[in-house]
Amino acid sequence: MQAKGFHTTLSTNIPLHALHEYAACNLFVLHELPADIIVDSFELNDHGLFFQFVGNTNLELPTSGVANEPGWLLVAVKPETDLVVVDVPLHVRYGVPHEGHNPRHIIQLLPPTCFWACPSSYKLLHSALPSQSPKFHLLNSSVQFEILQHTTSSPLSFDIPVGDINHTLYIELCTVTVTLLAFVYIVWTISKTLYSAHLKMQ
Amino acid sequence: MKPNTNAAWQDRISGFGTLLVISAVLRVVLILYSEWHDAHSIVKYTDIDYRVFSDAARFILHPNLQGNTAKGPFALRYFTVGDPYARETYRYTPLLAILLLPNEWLHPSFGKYLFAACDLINGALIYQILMLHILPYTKSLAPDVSAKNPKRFMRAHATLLATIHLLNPLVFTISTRGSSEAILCTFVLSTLFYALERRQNAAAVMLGLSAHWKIYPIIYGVSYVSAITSQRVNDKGWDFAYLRRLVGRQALCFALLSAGTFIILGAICYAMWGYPFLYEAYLYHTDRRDHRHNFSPYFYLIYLTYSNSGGTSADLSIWRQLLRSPFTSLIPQLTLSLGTGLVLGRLSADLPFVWFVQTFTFVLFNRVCTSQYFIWYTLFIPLLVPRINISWKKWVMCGAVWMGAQALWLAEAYNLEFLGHNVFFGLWVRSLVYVASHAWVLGVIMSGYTPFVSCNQQ
Repeated sequence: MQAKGFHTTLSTNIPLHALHEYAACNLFVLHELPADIIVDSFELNDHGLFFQFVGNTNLELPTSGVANEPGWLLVAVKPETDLVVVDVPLHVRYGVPHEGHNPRHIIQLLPPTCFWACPSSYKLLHSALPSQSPKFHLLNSSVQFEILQHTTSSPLSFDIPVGDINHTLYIELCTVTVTLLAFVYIVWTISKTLYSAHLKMQ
Repeated sequence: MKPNTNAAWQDRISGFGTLLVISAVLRVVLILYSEWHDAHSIVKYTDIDYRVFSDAARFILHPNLQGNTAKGPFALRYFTVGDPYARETYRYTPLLAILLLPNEWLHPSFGKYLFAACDLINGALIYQILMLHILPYTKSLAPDVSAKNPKRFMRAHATLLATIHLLNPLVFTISTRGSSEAILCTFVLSTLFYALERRQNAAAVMLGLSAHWKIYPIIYGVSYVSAITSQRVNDKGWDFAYLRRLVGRQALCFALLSAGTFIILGAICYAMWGYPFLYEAYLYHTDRRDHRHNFSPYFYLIYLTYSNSGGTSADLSIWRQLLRSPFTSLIPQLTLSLGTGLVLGRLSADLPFVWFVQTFTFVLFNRVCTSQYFIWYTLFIPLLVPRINISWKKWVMCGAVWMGAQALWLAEAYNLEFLGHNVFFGLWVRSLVYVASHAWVLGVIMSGYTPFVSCNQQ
């Protein structure tokens, strides 16, 4: 499924088996998000999520205004049932303008990594987190990981419109023209008002 | 029969006190509703800005919460005070965060009650200005009013006009959602009140405070200087006597007191919070590049040229650089917002009208425009209505055009943001429609306005 528009919710379904075997562990979802994606920490708080985000926290810049580095969102999940659903609201920056008729840009998301994080005293586990992921203080007490399979997430891509750079000259000309016309019209109206006031005083 | 009809009309209007009570109850109910709504819905009633103010207040109270100690020279040496600018997107004076400190120790909705109280104060100021400075000099209002109860008629009229502000959905929604515009409106209306009362020093201090809160009220200083100059010069021409008075003792005293207030407040804030205060409260706004959620047609140009470091590319021809230059909007904006102040300010009794025109043109030609900006000038409309001579059909048309242009833009913005349709160009066209239609509305209001005749203002 592909999200259209600049705002959506990334929903991850995590089926859990043998829950009791991981009683001493914590369940997490790790998202690697491209620079185009905006994570609003305050909004995530409103959703009651317990999380840590490492990346660009500026909510206002377009894609061309941020470095091309991914952001990492780690969400802690309470495994209360056999099927856990984690909903994360995401927003998209305005993309780099292209040429062409009706230009669009597709943003692909990597499937999130769902895993158990367990203490060193736990049985030996062999999974590892993505090597390029940063250090998270939420994982400080965990040294072993078990990555879960068969998790599903949606949507994993965004299809967004971008500006057409062929419009630029037209935009420049017409914006300035309308601005100046509005200016002239208001000046003319002010002159009439002053003249009317002057006549009254006479 | 006409005088009896008028008397009946007056009797149907409740007193201003009743209006205040109704307005207060409405706001309290909405604030209580906002608490319930926010607790039960992911989509919040409360504006995101209120979260920003509240977080900033918390950071002031709790330094070292996130390494957020104030960075001003005075604070570093003598105090440990929190830094409100550690909160992202907090771009206001620190005094606002200080005003909202009770959000932390009293109740999270304290700020909303404060903004609502400012709404009521604004309504009272509007009522007083109408009663003291506008309605007594507006003869056209009630040619048939019995001489026995002109005061009663004026009170009814002033109450009705204050209702435009107090029961305006735009006004009470903004304040109960937690936007702080009501505080600035209180400062601006207080400045206007003192100016009309000819209490120059009080007006100067309030203007300095208003400008500290947000920069744009500086434009009112130009019109007030023109007004006080005009009061001392009998001739209304542009002669040497007028120009000399423009930089004369009275005008200079006003300017110095106003600037002094602004500088002292700024210096105190800088001493405590340092460069982050200067940047976030003032400097950031001089180079804002809002490419999104912005009514101004410049949003699209900003977006298309964002990667050119916000300036003009050296590879472009001179005339292309000129077209992209911020001066294409800044020059009309400043010419009108300052020029109208200087020129129309000579109609000293018409300060509410002058300030309306100045603010309207400032907002219209600004490269950034959001819905909250409109309240900066709609604030003055109750003060203009008695002196605007246009038919009710034209009033309705102005309202429809003013709101319709915004609705058109918002509908297309929804298509873009939530449905993902490529309507950047269409949205930009609607921005042009917004500029043209709002300019037309301003023109209609100005054309219909009847200035005071100077002999009425002694």
